[in-house]
Amino acid sequence: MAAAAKKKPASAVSIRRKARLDLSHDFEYREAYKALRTSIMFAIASAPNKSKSIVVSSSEPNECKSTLSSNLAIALAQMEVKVLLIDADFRNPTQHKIFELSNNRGLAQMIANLTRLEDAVNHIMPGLDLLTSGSFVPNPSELLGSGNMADLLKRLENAYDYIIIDTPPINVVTDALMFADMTCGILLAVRQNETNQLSLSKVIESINLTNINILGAVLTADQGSRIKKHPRGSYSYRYNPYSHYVHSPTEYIRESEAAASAESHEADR
Amino acid sequence: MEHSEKTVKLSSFLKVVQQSWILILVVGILCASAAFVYTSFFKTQEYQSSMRLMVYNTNWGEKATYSTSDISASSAIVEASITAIKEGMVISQVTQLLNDNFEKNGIAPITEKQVKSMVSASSDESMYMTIYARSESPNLSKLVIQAYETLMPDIINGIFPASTIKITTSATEGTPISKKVIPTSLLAFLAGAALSFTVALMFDMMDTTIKSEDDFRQKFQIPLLGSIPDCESTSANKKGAYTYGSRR
Repeated sequence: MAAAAKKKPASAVSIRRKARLDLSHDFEYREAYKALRTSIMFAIASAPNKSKSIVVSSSEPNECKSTLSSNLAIALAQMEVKVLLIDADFRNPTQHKIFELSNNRGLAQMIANLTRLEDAVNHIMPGLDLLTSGSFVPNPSELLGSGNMADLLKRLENAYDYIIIDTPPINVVTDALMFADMTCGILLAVRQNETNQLSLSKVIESINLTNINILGAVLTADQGSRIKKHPRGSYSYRYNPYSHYVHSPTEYIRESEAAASAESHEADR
Repeated sequence: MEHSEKTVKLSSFLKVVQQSWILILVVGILCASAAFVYTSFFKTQEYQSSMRLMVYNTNWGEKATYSTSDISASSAIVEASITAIKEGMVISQVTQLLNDNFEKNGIAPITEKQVKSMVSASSDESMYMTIYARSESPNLSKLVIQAYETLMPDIINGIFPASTIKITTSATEGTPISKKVIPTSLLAFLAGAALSFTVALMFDMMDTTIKSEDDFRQKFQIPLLGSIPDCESTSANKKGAYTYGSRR
């Protein structure tokens, strides 16, 4: 019963409340994620490791990698594929806050075989599940580098089309590097005017040393792209009027919630 | 041998101006305001006295009109005389004369250095020469000019014996000199703006963060898969390894 309650889709309102997933985000913001989704699909296809998991990390904290992970997962889920978002940042878990969920059970319990996947996974929207980090663990690096983690990833890859793994920044802790070789590669969040070149070079060097594939980087908090790509009166004028026709992630969530609600009403009758 | 060169493009200057124009403007206005307040209320009022003299060859005599060659020859003497007014010997004579007068009237003596800093001269490439004296006291400036008026004919005759000196305008009363509030303020604005621009440019050049997609592509070989417009950041969660890992 409790599991069933937990599986109830997260409220679209609660998701929107968080600024990072609020689909009052404008057209270009949503389009940027769609463009990124396409690029990532190509990058995965050309990756040497035929895994479906992507590790999202950064060089330092606060480079929008959790936002990138969650929004990328939502964008992928819109394509009618099964996506699992995993919060592997045991030290500073964020995904449960974004989706306003409990973090009692999650990845830590799954690795330790203390819970079942059905009980640990939260259903966010059609096609998107979230595995939060779970309760506190004293040895995150060891846990992530364990054989159980490798087995879990294999199991999850059979159940999902894409797995997005939100991890801690690599220059701070090496957690991401402990299991990234089992995935198709690392996606680096690079925050404009924040990420230091030296810091990023160090991360790339660390990743290369461990022989892990780098899928690519994503420039986050890009202030220039708005000005460059959407000068007032040209691009915006031509495309923004059509933005309400685009099936945005929140709209998607909202519609699927409405459909689910209608279904439950039907069932109650 | 590999040389590492750092070229600064014009676009980077423009970018700095675009990013820091408020700072540049504010610093410029602050400097202009400070200069305005200083020149208007704190700068000491100075007074200027002057005399004008004409130099010509004694052989020519005083004529109603002079030929171009006459003017040219006189002009050379005037130019030499302008240099002479600040020469040590001349300054010494002027100071001596002034101090003799001051002693009689019980006024504190003046130094040669002070006299030298007060006087200046100019000519308009003609036979005429104007000597100026600036001082915080209108009387002192006039006395200095009067000393020059007394000594200049002998000084010039000493250098150019064949020349005649005619004082066309005697030492004038010391008149207040304009404090030039507006030009000084404008200059201060430009200096402030230039200073803040230089500081902003230096910070920009020292900033090693990734600034744009192009910047990333130039410096790193890994593919840039996308660019996400600015997202809201939590101001509470500031960047820093020390705070990282505290579960909230």
